[in-house]
Amino acid sequence: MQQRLDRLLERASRHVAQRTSRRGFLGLFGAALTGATLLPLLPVSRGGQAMAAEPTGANAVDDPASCDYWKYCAIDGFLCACCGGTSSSCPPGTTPSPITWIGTCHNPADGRDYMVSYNDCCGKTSCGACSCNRNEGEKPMYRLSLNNDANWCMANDNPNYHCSVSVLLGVAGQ
Amino acid sequence: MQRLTTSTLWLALGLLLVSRVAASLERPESTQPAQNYVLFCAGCHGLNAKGVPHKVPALTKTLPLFVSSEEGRDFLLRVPGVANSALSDQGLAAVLNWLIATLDTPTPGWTAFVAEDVHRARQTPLMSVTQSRRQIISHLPLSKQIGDANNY
Repeated sequence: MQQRLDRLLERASRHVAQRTSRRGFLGLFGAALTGATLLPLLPVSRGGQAMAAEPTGANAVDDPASCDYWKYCAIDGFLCACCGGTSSSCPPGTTPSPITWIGTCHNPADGRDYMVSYNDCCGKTSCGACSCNRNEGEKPMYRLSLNNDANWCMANDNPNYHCSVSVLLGVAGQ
Repeated sequence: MQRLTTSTLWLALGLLLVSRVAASLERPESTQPAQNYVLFCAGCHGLNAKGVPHKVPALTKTLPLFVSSEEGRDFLLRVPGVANSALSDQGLAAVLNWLIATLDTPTPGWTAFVAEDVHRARQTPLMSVTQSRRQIISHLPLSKQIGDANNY
């Protein structure tokens, strides 16, 4: 029994030795390491844009958990109001991004434009609830300061994206 | 990792270099410098202009120091955030002057920026931002040398 096991293992070892190389393994291992390092630097997919809710535009909504809420006019991500936070504050255990992009939204209730800061909440994995993708005034990545696809958690100690908030900064005048 | 993140930020700012053409498509700038600061600068430098330690420089610290020397003023107008801003030359000069005037740090005897200064300097954006910044800080009197020369 023992001899048979020995022969089996020997055959298996020879088979592996003849068909693989140590360099091949090192190459594969190196590629996996590089891939794992570069993966967090790729742009964030904010919850699958194909499935993301689009505003219906039917009626003005005053519900912070709805993608149609007026001050979400250029948000792209999971609404923190559905993730344990509010429309303007991060859920417990996450930290607001210190850098962000700032735009304006039109409030149909009073007819005025407001300055809105779209901060990401960072430090936990993606929330996954209430995905919302609206792009009024949003610009491509080459205009980074007006882009909502960027992971604004990039300056946080823990750059994991969790959800997004819309913080009102004041009325936009002329 | 921190080094990597800082590099990513500079890379992102560098990408703005190619975006001058798109500037005309954006929202018109306001006549109020304070509002222009919020809409065009505060996203990175923060509403209080204090930046993010090790990531985004604090304007509260550097503006009063740099505005007093020729090379410092030239640097301020050529950093990526200024040179590639969607704001007009006049709008940028107004924002910078407003910022310096409203800072808590007293800035005695500074000369206000005019649109022509901005127009001339932003034609040649800085490439080696960190190096230029370090050099300017090393030329300051010892008592004014801030400790973050190697951070940005």
